[in-house]
Amino acid sequence: MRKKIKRNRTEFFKNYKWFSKFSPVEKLKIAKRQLEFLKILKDAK
Amino acid sequence: MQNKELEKEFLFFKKLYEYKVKYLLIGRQACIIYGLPLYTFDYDIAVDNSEDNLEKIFMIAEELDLYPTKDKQEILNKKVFVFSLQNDIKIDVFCAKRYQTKDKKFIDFLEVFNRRLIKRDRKYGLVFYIPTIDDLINFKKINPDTKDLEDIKALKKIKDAYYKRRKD
Repeated sequence: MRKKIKRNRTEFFKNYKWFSKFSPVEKLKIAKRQLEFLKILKDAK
Repeated sequence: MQNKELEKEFLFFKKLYEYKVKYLLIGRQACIIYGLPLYTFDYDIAVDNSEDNLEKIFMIAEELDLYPTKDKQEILNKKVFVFSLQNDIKIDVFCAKRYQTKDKKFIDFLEVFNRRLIKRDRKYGLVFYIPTIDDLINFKKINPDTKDLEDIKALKKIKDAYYKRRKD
């Protein structure tokens, strides 16, 4: 259980570190694009 | 970067800065600017509810073909505390002077605005005003749903990590 929490935490900071590299507008554009992609995936089911 | 290359929502924020509007980007979009990899379409802003500030927002909305969902006069008379500007994009505008969180704390807009963070995007020539992490957490506590609680947790994580790094 402790290992799982640690892995989730590491994953969180890995994503955070990657995402933080982008500029504010790029971050907002990526978020919008990801959501559009998720919607396409959802509709495809 | 020319205006025509900017999407409408970014043009909206560019104009807010140019017209010196007192606003704060709140909600998930602010979390995204803090670096949280989240997904959202909604734009939420909190604004100073002075007549002058609200008139500027209406002027920008008109320039961008966005229409308020509530009567302008009612908004100016402070009878309305939230409305949307919408057409092909939608921006939710919170215009109360003070907000109360679920844990009975008060958020005074002007106090929070005065200690805001200014995030500049040089590539796109844009400036965003966002609350400090603690203030953003408080905004999320006003009427928290499951997503807000997750966001609060994530914001606290990056806050703790940031301070830990600073101490090291």
